[in-house]
Amino acid sequence: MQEILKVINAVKYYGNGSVTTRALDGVSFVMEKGEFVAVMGPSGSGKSTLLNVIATIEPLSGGEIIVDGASVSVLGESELAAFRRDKLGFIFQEYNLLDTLTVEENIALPMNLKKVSAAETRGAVMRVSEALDVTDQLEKFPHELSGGQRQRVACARAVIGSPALILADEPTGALDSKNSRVLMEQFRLMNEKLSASILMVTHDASVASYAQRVIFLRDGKIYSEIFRGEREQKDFRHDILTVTETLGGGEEGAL
Amino acid sequence: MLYKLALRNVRRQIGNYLIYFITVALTVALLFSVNNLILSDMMDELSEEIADFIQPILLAVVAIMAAVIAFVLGYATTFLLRRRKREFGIYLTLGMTRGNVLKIFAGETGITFLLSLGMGILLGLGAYQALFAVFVNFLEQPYTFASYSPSGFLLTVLSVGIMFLVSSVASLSYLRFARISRLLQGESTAPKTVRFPLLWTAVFLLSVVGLIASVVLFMSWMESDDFFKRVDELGMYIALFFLSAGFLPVGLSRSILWLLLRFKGVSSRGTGVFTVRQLSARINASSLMMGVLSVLLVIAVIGPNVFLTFNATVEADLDRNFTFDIESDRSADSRLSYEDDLAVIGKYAEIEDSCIYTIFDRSQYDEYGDFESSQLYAAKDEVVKLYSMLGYTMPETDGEYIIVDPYPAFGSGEGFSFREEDKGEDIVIGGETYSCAGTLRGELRVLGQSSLYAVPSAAVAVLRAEAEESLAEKPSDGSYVPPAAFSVQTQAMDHLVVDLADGRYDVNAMLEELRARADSDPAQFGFTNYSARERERQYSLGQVALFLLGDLFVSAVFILMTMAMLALKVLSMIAEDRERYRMLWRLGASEGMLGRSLFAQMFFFCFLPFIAPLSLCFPLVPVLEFFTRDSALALSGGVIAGQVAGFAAIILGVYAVYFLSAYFVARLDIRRTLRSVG
Repeated sequence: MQEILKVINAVKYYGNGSVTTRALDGVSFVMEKGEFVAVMGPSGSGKSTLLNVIATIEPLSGGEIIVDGASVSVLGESELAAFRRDKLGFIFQEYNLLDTLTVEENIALPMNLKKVSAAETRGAVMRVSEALDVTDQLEKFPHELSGGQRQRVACARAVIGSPALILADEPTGALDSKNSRVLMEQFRLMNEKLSASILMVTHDASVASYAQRVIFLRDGKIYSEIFRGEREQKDFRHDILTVTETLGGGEEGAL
Repeated sequence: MLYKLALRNVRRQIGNYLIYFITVALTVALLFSVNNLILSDMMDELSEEIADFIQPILLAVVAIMAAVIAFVLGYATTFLLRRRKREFGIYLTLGMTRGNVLKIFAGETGITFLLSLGMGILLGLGAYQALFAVFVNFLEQPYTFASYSPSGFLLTVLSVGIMFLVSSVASLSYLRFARISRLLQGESTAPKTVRFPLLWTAVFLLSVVGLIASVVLFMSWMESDDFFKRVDELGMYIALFFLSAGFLPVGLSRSILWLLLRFKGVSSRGTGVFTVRQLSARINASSLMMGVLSVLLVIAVIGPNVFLTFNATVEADLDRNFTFDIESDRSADSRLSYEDDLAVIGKYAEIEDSCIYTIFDRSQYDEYGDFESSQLYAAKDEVVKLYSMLGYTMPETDGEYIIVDPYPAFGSGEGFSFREEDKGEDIVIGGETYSCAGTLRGELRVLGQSSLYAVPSAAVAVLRAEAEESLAEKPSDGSYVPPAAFSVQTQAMDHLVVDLADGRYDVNAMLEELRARADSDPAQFGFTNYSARERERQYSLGQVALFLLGDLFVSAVFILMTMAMLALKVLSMIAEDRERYRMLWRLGASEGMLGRSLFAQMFFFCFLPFIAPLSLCFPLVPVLEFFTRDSALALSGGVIAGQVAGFAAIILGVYAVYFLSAYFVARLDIRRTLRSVG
């Protein structure tokens, strides 16, 4: 299998001098193309920092990150922007849709940033909006949609440019359990049908159980890692909860 | 503690307060220099009659402008507040009382205001000297250091203090009553689409038609002979003009943005859609402001151009109205002599040439003593001398009289000519018959508007004797005696015209001395009129200069306030957009792309109110040309276009300063936001 993401001894610390906090302390792992990986851990374990350094929103203090064969550590400002635009798709807890744009314009945004022609963009928008069941909402503005619809729009925006890697930061954080389930089914669909590689940060074991693998972080280091394999989802969820209990996070599965 | 916090906030928020600081400092400098000029000694010396008339008007203009500035600064301060409302919301959440928050914000704006006042006064010290130099140069007087007026200083500080208090009321009342949740809300979430796009397109087209129609109607109104009787029509044209100017930017922007959104192919690349959507939302929310600012800028553009054009024609109009540097007429019963007056004039300015001449008005009465006819006469050699002073040499016509037409077609610019073929009938004066040598045509205002017979000296002697006889027959008590049957009455009026070697001299002192002499005339009904070109020039220029000063002041205030409002408004908007830019950046928009989008949004938003005023510069040129058409100096389109373009360039310069300041502050703000992503 092709490696889509390779994190090698990633180190990230904040502050300087004697007052430094190590948010990531030598994290290393590899993600294959088409893999759906969840990252879990208690607050302050470094989950969001890991996502941010992979997303190049924050620079690494040490180590290396390779996405789709290219090291992001050596890229300049404009190359990083191009990297985010071409290689990554983002899904955030607060949807992060631009409220001044319509749903269609929000979904088309990554294509616009790539300066793809209007006709091609329109075709891509129709394709992903059908896949994510938001075709009827295209003319609306985000504030006219429900939370679940907004997150599906965010998913459509994340996949429209066929990115190498989709990064999701607590995607169900603002959704109720029903909408969370629907969204996770969409993630599974994106992963299986569109071969999207997804790296998702969550604190919810039920959400994490949709992934094929869960990486547990603690104090900036990988504490454990479990694979779903051929197990049923509920069994996988049980195993995830077991690990989280030993981690001391104590989060309950909510779905 | 609160004072320290306010001081620290000012230091931290230096970028936010920059626009505010620039605006207040420039406004104070402007007020200081104008107040000093209005209350300066020079203004009193200029002319009592002008100063008495215009000084109160200018002070009223300053007061009205101070009120406008206070209103705008109040509005602008609320932008500053909105930009930081989340911060103030957090203060309240943390347990500060509203009073404490009010004190912090009032302290911040107060510190900035005091700093701006100090800077403004410093700038004003120099600006006043510059304004004074321009003013005296305008009046063609020598520049000497202008002393500062203590009352001008006090008036400035007082009006600025009141402006600060008034402007603080709006922002502080917002802070006093706003809900904490609203303060914490930070950004607006209600995007607006362009509604009724076809209506707005129609509004734009109607605005253009309205502007063109109002200009055309105004010009045809000016061209009509009875325009003074149709002042109500002028009011309608002006209303149509300003309404169109106000609606034009709103209609234009909404139509363009709607078109760009409808045909996305045009704006779909890069951040185009985002830029257009942002603008659409912003302009929808600021339509009224855009319209008002557009009207203010139209006033700011038109006023100075009109006065500058009038100023350019003043000198030329003087040339037309004053053929000679000094002109005087005097009743024949005066005991004074023009030779003595020439001696007085010679004390003040070198006399290049002069002519003393007499015009006789000879009236004939019928058998009932009723008026039958009258004719003006003058000595031929004196008329020849007058025309020679204008550079025309009459052909020799010994022993004969000539008809003089001094008013062929006033203002036609027709030159001088003598036509032998235009002969009149023979005339008889004192029993002597004189044949006509021809007609001299040539504009010479001092000879009046009726044709005149220029007769040989023998005839003049007869006319003078008749005039003395008529004068002698007048009762000494001034009572009226009806003319006798078939009588001839001749009245003589002496005239003096003088050409000076240098037109600039102490005309007021000279006229004072001449008038003092005239007042001492022992003749009971004797009178003498004097008019001096230099005196009229000073009066006209002084009048235009003062109106221009007031007008430029109004324009400067309007432009400064417009730019301050736009810059602060756009900065408060950008503060609400931070999260949107961060989202775009995360999605892969480079900083360059974001910078370009920011530039496009700010440029379009800030430039919108300038579209109507700057577009109006084009029709303004023919209109001003039309204004000068009846003037002695019909300015060419090129000259007027240069003046209009120069003024437009100044406005664009001010726009550039504010726009670039606001842009760099906003860009820094966005970059800081991107960098602070954790």
